[in-house]
Amino acid sequence: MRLARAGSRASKAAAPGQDPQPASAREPVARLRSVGGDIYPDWEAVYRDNIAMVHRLMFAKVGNRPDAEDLTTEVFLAVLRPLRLPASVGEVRAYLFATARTVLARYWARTLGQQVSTLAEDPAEVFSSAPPESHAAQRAERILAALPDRYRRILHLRFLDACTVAEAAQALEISVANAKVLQHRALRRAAEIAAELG
Amino acid sequence: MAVRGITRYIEDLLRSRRPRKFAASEQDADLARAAITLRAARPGSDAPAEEFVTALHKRLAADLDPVIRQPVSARRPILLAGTAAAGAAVVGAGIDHVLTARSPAAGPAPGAGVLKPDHGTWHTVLASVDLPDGAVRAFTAGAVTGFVQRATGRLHAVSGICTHQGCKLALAAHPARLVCPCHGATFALDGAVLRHRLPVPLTALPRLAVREASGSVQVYVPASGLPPTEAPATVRD
Repeated sequence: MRLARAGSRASKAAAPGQDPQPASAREPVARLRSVGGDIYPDWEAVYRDNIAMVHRLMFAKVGNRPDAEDLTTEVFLAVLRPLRLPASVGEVRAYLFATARTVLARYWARTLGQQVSTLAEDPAEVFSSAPPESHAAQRAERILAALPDRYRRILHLRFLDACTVAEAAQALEISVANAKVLQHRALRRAAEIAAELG
Repeated sequence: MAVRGITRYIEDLLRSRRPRKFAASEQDADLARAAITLRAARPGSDAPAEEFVTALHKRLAADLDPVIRQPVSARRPILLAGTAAAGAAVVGAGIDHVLTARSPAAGPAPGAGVLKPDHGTWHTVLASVDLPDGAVRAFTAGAVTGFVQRATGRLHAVSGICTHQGCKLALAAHPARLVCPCHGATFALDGAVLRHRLPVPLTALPRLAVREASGSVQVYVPASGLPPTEAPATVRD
């Protein structure tokens, strides 16, 4: 189901960029992403401006929140202490990105022993692309679109609609055992398609 | 063994849990990669939780500015406000008692039970025509985000923020419900808790007053910015 987002998103754009005050903790994160100048005066500015992006990046690479949060924490702890500020936005982001790449590689080495995902993107593109979720979402859409109908439906129900296996089985009018088998086959096919897409 | 490892890994991803380690083969890595790509595309799940952003900010502040004390946390305004209100109620009762003892003609006591005017406002969130019967739409009105629904001709609106840690809920289909990307709690469109795997009890989503006026759907946003637990009873147009 696609959502039409009603109401204004203008509040984000209206956020003052150069606000030197520490952001109120209750401010939505999205409002804190823009910075007026090209210089970060202090670590708070670095944090406010990049926390959402680093988290999104990590979430797209590991697919679960507890690990994405730990990795994001690791990146900021590693980056902020030795950082000499003020520094340019470009420099700081390049440093953040390089650190994130190393942190992610170490994560895979200690969890699955395989480099399941890497930070291969162009950092400039990652930090500038307007809707940050679009890349991952587009890739998922392309993989799903290439699947046979029933494979697509089971994966959509389970991964995007957050259905339990029982709910997915009911929606597809099959048994739970069959749904499990179908999901496994569908994912195997999805992995092949992903490899073909490159 | 490898099959079990990857199967459990995928199930953990689907349940929004931290996946457990296992020695993965190359084929496992391919499956994990595909599963991560699909899971990461679940609507609304990649934005950081406010709770996390605040906690990490605090940790970094302690790490980087050991001398500067952080101001008393602004992250628990609801709890603080609640405590203050409870304190005020006690004080109010005390004053009331003193006043009553000295002059029985004293006016209504301050504090507990007094109706306060709520300077909230009605926010137009979408045009009536964009909400046909049976439809659900996400909306943002000031500091409040939520979902508005028209079911059998009646309008309902609920807050779109999980009552656990404040994550933004995503709308899921089959059947339509609101799912928390953080820990998988699921709410019905009327705000009721459908299921969760949290060790603590979860409260239902606050409902918001909603009305239709001159072709638009409007939601009542209290001045505090927080949705009321129940629709305000004293609201007028």
